[in-house]
Amino acid sequence: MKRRTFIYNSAVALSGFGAGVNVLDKWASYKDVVIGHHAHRYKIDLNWGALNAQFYPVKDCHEMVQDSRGRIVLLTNHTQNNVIIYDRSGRLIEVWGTEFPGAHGLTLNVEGGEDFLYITDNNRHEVIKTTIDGKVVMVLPYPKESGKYESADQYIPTETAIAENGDIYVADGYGLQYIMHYNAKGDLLNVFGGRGEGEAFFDNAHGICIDTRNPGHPCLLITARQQNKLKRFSLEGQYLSTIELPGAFICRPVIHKKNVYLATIWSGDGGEGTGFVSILDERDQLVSAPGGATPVYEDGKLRPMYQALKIFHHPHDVCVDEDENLYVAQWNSGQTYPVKLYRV
Amino acid sequence: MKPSLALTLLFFSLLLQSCTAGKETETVYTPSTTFHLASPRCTVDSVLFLNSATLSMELDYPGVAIFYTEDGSAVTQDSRRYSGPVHIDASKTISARAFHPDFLPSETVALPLKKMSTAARNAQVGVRPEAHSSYPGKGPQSLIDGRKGSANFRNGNFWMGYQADTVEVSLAFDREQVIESITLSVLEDNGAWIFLPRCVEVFANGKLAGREEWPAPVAVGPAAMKFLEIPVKRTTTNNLQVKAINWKHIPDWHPGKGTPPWFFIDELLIN
Repeated sequence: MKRRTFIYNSAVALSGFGAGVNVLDKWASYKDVVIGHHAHRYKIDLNWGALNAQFYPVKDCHEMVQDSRGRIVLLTNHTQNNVIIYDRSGRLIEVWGTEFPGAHGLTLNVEGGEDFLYITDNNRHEVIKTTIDGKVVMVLPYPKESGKYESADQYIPTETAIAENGDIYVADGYGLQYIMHYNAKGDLLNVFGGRGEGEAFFDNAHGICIDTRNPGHPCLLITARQQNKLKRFSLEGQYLSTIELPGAFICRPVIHKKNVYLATIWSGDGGEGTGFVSILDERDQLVSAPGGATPVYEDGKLRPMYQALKIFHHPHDVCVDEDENLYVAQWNSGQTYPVKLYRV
Repeated sequence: MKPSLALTLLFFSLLLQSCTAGKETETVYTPSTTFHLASPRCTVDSVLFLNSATLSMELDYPGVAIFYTEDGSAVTQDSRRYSGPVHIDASKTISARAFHPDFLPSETVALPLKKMSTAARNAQVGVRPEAHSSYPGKGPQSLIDGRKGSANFRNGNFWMGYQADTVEVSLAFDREQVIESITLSVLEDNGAWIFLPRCVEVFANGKLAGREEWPAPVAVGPAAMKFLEIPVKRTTTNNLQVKAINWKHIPDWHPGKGTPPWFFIDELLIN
């Protein structure tokens, strides 16, 4: 993989240190790559968070969040260590979790001053709420009471979002495409979405978040990945509007300040290894696509997007830290660790 | 080597290691030369054409240059540089590749383009039965117009769709033609219940002149446009009948089992 090539290059440079000038000259001739568009531009650290895979292995790096202490929490479906916690420089702090074979969605919510994690497991067909150090405090099994499911197998949740009042929304992105709305205790309040024709329905409702950018008017942003769309719903489950992102197979939306960040797992016609990162502005327009072609709007419509640089393979989630640096976790990308993008 | 010199070297190498160890958290940004460009996107108005086709290429990244060849040779920065739509008037494969001073070049993308024989140009085309009302294409004559549909069969209206045991295309030429093979341009998209025919038979002067069979699919594959070539005993004729014989039912492994499959065709080529 690229990472190995890079490590090899830097090892050569370090071991050749004594040889002096030649190596340093070569090093100096390298140009740091800067990716992205407009104000959202980044340098790349491919080496961030790389660990000894014999002891801290990953399969798919599905999602990442930052906790209240500033630590970066990675969720992988490798049951040797489902959760890997780093500091922002990529240094390992701790690992935990061996019982999440289908670890997929990771959402952090602060409740009474304490961090809690909501893990969707699409192999166990349930959502598990844990403390930040891995103690299970609640399990939401498949929503039999919804009347929509005949068996747990049909329910393959991919993501959660937690409202300010503690209500829990779960997207069944690989199952029957319904959105479950629970209260904080886990009582099912509402079910909406599902598969079908029309804007209020989904094909691969892969991600969900609470859009808090308009104060006093929170709403839901839900991905329809196969449709290259992001759909806005009220917290009560009413369809409101659609953000069209042609050519961008977006994973979950992540809100940070005025922007929405979306790992984009495939692009163009949906071919393998064609991912990049999408960043929307406060008007929900694509302003930057690190790794992708320049976003261009013609008559208010985004020209279909595609990959321009082979930096990312299959980005699956983006975590944004307080300096607006990005951490990109990737699915099915040679069991590599996350990539960090430094905002410039 | 003197022991004292060896010790000195050991001392310095340890010192060096401790220096580098202390630097391990320093961020080293990745140089651009680590990355390849993605392949250019090539779009063509028609991969089959009677007179000419127009091809455009794009990779929207500052500083990118696209180079291409028309003879199948390797694409380098000494090849022709793309500066605008390319007009093609003969069958050939266009190979294109993107270059940039800071990045590694892209993989080569190859696009075969096919100029059709004019043999069928003035033929009268008939198809039985009529195409399904949802997928009428542009009528029987459009089977020889050189305009192809895309793999997304709901876009545009070049595809003629059928749910019938047999679809028979007849061609009457305005003068005798020497026929060596014919090619059907069809769509296979099992996930959308669109299957290849079970077999195709070609009749010239009323006699069987060629026959080709395809195995039943055993799983859903990706949607793909296919050229089905049917060799024909070299024949001189002023008429041809081409029968596509479809599967009676969608196979048992498929959600649509028991119902008739769809057959989609957008072009018939005489070679």
